[in-house]
Amino acid sequence: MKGIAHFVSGVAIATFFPEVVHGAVQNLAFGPVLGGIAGLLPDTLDFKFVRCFSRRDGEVDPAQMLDASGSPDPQAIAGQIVAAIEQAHRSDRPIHLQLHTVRLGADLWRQWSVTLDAPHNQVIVSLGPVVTTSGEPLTGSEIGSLEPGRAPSPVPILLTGDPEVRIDLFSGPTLAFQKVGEGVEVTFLPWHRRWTHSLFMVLLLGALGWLVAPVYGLVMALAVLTHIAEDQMGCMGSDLFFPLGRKRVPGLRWFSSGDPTANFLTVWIGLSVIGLNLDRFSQAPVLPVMPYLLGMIVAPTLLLLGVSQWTAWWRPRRAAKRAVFTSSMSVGEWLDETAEMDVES
Amino acid sequence: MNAESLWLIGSALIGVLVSAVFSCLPAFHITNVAGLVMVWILRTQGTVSQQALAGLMLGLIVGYAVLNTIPSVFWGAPDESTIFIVWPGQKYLMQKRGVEAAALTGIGSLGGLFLLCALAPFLPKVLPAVRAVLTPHLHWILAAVTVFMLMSEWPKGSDRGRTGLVRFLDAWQSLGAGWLTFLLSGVLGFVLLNSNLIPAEMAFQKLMPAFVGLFGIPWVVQNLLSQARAPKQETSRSVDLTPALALRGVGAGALGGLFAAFFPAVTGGIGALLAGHATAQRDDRLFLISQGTSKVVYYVGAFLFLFVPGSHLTRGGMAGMLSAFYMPYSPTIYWGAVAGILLAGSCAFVLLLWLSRASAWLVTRVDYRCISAITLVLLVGFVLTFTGWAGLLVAMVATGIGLVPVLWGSRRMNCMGVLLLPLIVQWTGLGPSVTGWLGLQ
Repeated sequence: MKGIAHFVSGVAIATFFPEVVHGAVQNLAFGPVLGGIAGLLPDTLDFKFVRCFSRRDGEVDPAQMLDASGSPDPQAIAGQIVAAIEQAHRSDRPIHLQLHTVRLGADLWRQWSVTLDAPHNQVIVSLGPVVTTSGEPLTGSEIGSLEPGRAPSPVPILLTGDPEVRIDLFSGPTLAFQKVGEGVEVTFLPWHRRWTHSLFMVLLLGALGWLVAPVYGLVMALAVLTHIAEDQMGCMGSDLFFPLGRKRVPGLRWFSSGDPTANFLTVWIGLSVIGLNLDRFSQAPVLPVMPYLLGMIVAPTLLLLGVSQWTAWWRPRRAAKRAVFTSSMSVGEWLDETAEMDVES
Repeated sequence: MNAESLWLIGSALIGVLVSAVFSCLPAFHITNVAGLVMVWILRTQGTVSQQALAGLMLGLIVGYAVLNTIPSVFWGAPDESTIFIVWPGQKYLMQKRGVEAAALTGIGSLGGLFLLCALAPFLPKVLPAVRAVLTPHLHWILAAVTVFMLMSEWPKGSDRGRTGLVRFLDAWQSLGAGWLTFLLSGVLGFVLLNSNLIPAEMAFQKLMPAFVGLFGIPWVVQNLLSQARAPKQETSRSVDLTPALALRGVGAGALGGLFAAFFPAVTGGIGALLAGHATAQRDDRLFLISQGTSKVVYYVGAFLFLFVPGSHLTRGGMAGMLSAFYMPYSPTIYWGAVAGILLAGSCAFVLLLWLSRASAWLVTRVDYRCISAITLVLLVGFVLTFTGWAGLLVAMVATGIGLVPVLWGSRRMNCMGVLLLPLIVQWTGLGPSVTGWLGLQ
């Protein structure tokens, strides 16, 4: 889920404790903020610290692997990924491979994808269109003459997630290859959602908060627990039992982490709960609880879920009738101008 | 409708026309113009009725909220060597679709104005209740917004360093710059609010030189250094937009704008950031619409709160300045203000469509570096006239701080530390201690 959903959830958790709310009013304390910090901390640690220091045994940089025509060479890339798989199998130790993005300008990226075709034991690398930082593809920007690169793997590929990894914006992902039995298991983002998203972290932050005040320990522990629970509803899952287990427990796959409806609902419900709790624990409550719950939480949730379901049903039908991407100018012209700007800069 | 309301509405329309001139200049904020109006009012006491003054301010803020999309789209072509992120408005400009970007933002603004007017009947009942519940908690809510703002900035490094330490330093370059910007601007705000650097008669413009330096001058400097040229713009008669997308954009922007309007020191930009995160925005059109809505709901909503009977919530620079001279008191004036918002907003929208076409024509004929240079002279002139040499010195220091996020690619929003940090410190009772540490007592 997005950071704001975790942060608001953490603050909402804190407001369930009357001591925290009263402390904030009477002693000008920042108890609810601690909940928010704890709610966002697992991702902060992962993306700002753990990722930087994560292990890296090899790198795939398509911008450095060009064919005779000057385009990234999918065949060479596929070959390099298979070489890493072989190395993991041979050495019997995990191999971490960093896949880099291809930046073409301040707002332009060349999308590319890796498909780990387990049934046919091969790695397929395809170059996609040029996309903007919003993920919007530019029609006609595909390199038409370029065939996907295919490299057969000498050992069975064992998947733990989706077979296709798409690389486009900002920093690319890491793949980990680890020998399991006669095959090689592939893990997406091996550094993410490990110890920072475990019950160990719940205890650790709980203990840290306890040092300040027992109630803050409870707030921080529950905020991290809520973060983990929210993430478990997605696909990737978390390493819940670190250090006893070193594998991520798969998520429930109810929605993806970037799903707008899920994120918005979480934030909305969190904010509504905060409002209600602040009122409940005030000296003169003004909000009627049941009508508030119905009006602010139940009704918007049902409405939004209904709209979301309807949109999911309606969009594919409409998309079939529409052009793929309408732009008021030709893409070729656009790309020419970008090239010109690059020269100028 | 009585004469007071008519005065209010009439002068609101004049305010929109005045703001149309200043809102089109890059880096110019309408509170600077309002400051000029205030000085004029002070010197000619009694010649302008209070309702006319309120209406004029209303028109200025509505016009600015709708029209200041023009400089952000047209007067700042992105130079890839000097910027880190290309904003959707700039993208549209480089795709020859600047007019479309302005129209999309305008649609968002119009949506925000209609939404504000639709909420108007409920505000007198809801606002006092919300205020009663949240006022005792403002200090930590503001701290929470600040903490989220700082924690939610993710590394923009290339992730290509050979060692972990290199990658860590690369990642933390922009993050560290962001935190430094927040801290430095916070200290600057603290110094300004607790010292007599700015002349006492200009106390209502105490932070003006800091804002000009933190936000205005760095934008102009970036424009002056830019080597990019905007291409010849195309003018289409339609925009690429669906009703569902428009509703989503207006909804997200309204949430962010209302949040920013209610909480002191939270700006429309911060509100839009929160709303953008909450609704997981990716689409450029959604971004433009929600920005338009957020700006209008923030600026106009905060100003309207002053008129809400039984509330008189003073939020934002314009309401702060007006409340020193005039306090609206009746429901008739409130409804007059709502009518003024609708009329002024509709005029501003029409002006936006017309002025964006004019700007599209102008942008390829006039070097916007010239316009930026003129703006720089105007900004410096404003600061010098209102706040003297001390103000200019403050603006220079603030410019140094404001250039940090520009040079290191962090969020410029961190400059809002100038208001956020002093307020949080003050509200938690630590003000005197910090004042002592800084030697300001």
